[in-house]
Amino acid sequence: MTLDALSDIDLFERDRSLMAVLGRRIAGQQTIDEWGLDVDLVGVAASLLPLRIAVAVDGAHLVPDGPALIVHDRTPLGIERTVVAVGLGTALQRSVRFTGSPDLPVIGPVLARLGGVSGHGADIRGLLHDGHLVAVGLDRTRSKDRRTGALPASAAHAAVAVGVPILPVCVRPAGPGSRARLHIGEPVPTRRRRRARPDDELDNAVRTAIADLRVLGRLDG
Amino acid sequence: MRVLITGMGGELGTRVAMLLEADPTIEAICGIDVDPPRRRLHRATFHRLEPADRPRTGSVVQAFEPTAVVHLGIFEPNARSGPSRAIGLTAMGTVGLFAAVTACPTVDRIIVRSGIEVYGRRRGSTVRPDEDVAPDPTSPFGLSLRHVEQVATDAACDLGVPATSLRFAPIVGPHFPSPLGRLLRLPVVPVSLLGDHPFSVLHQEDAARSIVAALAVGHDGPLNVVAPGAVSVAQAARLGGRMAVPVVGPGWRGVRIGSELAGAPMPEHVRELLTRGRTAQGGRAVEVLGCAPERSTADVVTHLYEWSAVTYLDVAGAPA
Repeated sequence: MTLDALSDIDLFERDRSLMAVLGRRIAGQQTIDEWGLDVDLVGVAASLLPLRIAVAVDGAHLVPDGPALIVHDRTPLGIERTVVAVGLGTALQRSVRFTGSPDLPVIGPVLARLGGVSGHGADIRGLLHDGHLVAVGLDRTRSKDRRTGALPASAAHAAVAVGVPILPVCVRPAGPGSRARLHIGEPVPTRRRRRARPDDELDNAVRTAIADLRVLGRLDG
Repeated sequence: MRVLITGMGGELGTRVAMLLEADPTIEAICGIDVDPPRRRLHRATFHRLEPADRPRTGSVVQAFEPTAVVHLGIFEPNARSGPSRAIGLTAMGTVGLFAAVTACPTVDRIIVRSGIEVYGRRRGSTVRPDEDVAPDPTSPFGLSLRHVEQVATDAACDLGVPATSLRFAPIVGPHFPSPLGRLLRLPVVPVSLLGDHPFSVLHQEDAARSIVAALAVGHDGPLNVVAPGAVSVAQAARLGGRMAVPVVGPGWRGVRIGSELAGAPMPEHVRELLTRGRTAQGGRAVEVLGCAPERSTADVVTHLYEWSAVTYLDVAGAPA
């Protein structure tokens, strides 16, 4: 079993009491992985965030045990990264890495401690190769209408290179009296697309799937 | 196989020579370096040469007729010599060696010691590069390693043989000359206030085993050799019971002066590691070489602080 797989187990099984966490930090025994994720901090943050109990997840059974690229839509409030990482992580009892962490002093390292990574293709490829779930948002700057968004090219290439499925996810933000909701769609396979141009083909498939989930979410109320 | 090892006088070179001596398939071993080997070697022959002495290097290589060349004559700044001298020795030794090697048709593989410093840590660069990421060094040591890789690759192209560039994570250990190791062993360890980034290291024994494995495989291209896992600088200090002191901006200038006065000078690539972190993906090396580093980064750092107890001999009371 790799260290990365071990840290996924540690995340929800190790002692998360304040004394235990402080004791590990004083002794230097905390677990930090190569991307900077601090297992203790993620555990503490997940238990403190009110989102933990405020996110409902539909279709969690569609997420494979191994690596997968999770592509979610963007909401006007821009909190979908947190909703996906915390909601899905809690539902699956796994750490979910989210992209878009800026390489800036203070904020970059803090987000890295919580599972944030850059959108660099090599980093996404490495995470997928090590068996992680990586969440990326649709890139509005790449789409023609700039509203729906497009599948980021670096993430698409990484998924194709490693041969992992892409999971479309639609985020419905919390409203008055309703919880935030994640709708997970059927995985879009990438294994047979090695020779095809991944950008257009995968982009269309993922965007269509997310649009369908959006309609489904509205019907569900 | 007839193996020529440069840098045999260093800890790594000596250990590689010892491992090769234990292999009966190795026909002959020849080493060159500015310093003699650290241990007694039984089968290997050693030539004490200055890297700038190209005629003698050429004559030793021609006389030995190696089939494999292992270039470990890489001088890390502030490890065994000052920064500018280290860069100069590395460049002169590399150019002199490969000038001689290209005139030697018996060579069928080249192994070069490089480092993950070649990837650099520019803003916006990938956090954990794999071998597909183009080198973009941002420190003098990184530039020096890229030069070594280029010269070796050019020589391999001329000869039509494979060249393996082993990009090691910083090699540290209790008895390994390393500026990072010395800095982490100070009573007070500087940590960036703007972000305590993770870094990975490698144990010298794992580095030596990967060199021997690379000799057997003859892979063409770079391979990252990195111990699994990572630690942050503050965590490393705590593992050794040291105090981590946050530093920002101009404070690093004071740290540089203070650490030099304390006997642990801080070269540019070590400062970069402390302020930006340094890791790489080592999965491909494990697949290609068939051997994975046995010690994790946390184990290597813990081992760095472990010093064996000194047992003094009772010389005065001993019988004559």
